[in-house]
Amino acid sequence: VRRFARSRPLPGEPPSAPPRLAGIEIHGTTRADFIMRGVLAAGAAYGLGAVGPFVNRALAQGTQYAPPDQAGKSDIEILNFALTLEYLEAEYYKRGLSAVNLSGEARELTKEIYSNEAAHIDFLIGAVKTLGGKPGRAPTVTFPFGSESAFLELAQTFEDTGVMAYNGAGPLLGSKAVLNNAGQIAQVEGRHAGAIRMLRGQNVTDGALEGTLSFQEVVERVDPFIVDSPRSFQEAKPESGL
Amino acid sequence: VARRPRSERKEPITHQSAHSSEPSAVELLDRDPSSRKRFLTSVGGTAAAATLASITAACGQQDKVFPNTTAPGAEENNQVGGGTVFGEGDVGIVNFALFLEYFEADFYDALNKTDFFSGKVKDLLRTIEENEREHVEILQELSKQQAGGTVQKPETKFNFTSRTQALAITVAVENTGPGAYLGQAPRIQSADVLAGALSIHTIEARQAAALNMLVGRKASPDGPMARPFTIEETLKRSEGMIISTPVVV
Repeated sequence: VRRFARSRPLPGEPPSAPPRLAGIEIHGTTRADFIMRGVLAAGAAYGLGAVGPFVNRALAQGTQYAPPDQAGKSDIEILNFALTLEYLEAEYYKRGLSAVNLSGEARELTKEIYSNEAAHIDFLIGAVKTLGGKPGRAPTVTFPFGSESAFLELAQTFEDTGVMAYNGAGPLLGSKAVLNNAGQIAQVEGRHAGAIRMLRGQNVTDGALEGTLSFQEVVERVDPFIVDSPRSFQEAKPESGL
Repeated sequence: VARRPRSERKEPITHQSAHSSEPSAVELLDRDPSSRKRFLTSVGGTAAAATLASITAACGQQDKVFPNTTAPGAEENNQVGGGTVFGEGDVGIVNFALFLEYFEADFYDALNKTDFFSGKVKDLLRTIEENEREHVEILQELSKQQAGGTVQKPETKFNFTSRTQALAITVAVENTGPGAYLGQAPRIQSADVLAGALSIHTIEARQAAALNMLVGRKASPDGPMARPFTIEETLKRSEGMIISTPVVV
């Protein structure tokens, strides 16, 4: 029996492809969407005055956008949030390597990705400590394992989510050194996403510009797999009032 | 198991330049000035050799931007806003990116005019070309908004001789783009320019990894922390293919 941290029901969820996740498929990002999502996220950190021309133009194109929830997070909080995501990803690949009957190419890629995610965990723990913070603990997670194709499909969701999470948080980082490091990781997540999509025969990109996700949107996407949310995730939930 | 014809997936790379773990042709040439000059003369004439020298000189100060690419809390980059041959501050960075995207769009245009590719590989290459063209449009717009002059489209020259050679060059070119954006991101001051650069950065990364898969290379050849490239490194990797100096008007 799977238990979730939130009481959100997941009716009729098949073991290999939860419907909530099917809806996560990343849709093509229009330029107007990009402008609003990326720039308003940035505006939350820098003040909307800093992004005036873009916002005005995007508004003129009629884009709707909910206010982002990112404002006020410190670099340490952002890195701890990323750490939770990396814990989730690493555990998925680690378990998948033994739980799923993976063919040669899928196995090789999964090993590479696992190794990178594990290194991201170590790196982020070190980064949080360097900044004087306390690294978050690993969440307790649960995954539905089945066929190779279902495994890769969920892997794609995790990687796409990871890329857009880092891209959404990038402009909020105060330290340029941390931004550099977050960019290094974001690029590797993007590479994972591209490789998995290639292996699955999917479009490698959904448009010419990457979308972004707010902290809350990231939590909503990965919450079904987290049994007990660490603090960094609980704080990003809407009812927390943050 | 055979989800795709193996012949399309495991094309061996014969060009060393496509393996980041080994010195690229350009890097080897860089250590040997006489052979570098011969190489440049053979591919682009003396004009290309002169071009590289001037670009290298103009961009020399970029080398110190990232002394440390892996340590957390690395020393703060204090060169934000510095000028380059592409312009001062953010507009210089946007122009550098535009210069690179012009080159990439030209590259895929030429590549897709060859008859070396078919099926899914051709589809991928066409998608990448479309993305690069859109990056050009976006960056043109961003550059104009920054009001510091816009870089002109460079002259390019390509010589694709076989499927294997063309794919190897493509892998090398596409693995340079993400590093170029990564190298510039922390130097960007404006929030909207940064959001735009980050958004293009991971598209380039996806494209690079997809191409890597085609040739049996790792998705992330530099491991868990991607490597940022300086402007100088980026342009060196394009030498012989970009045959004009950046002009900002």
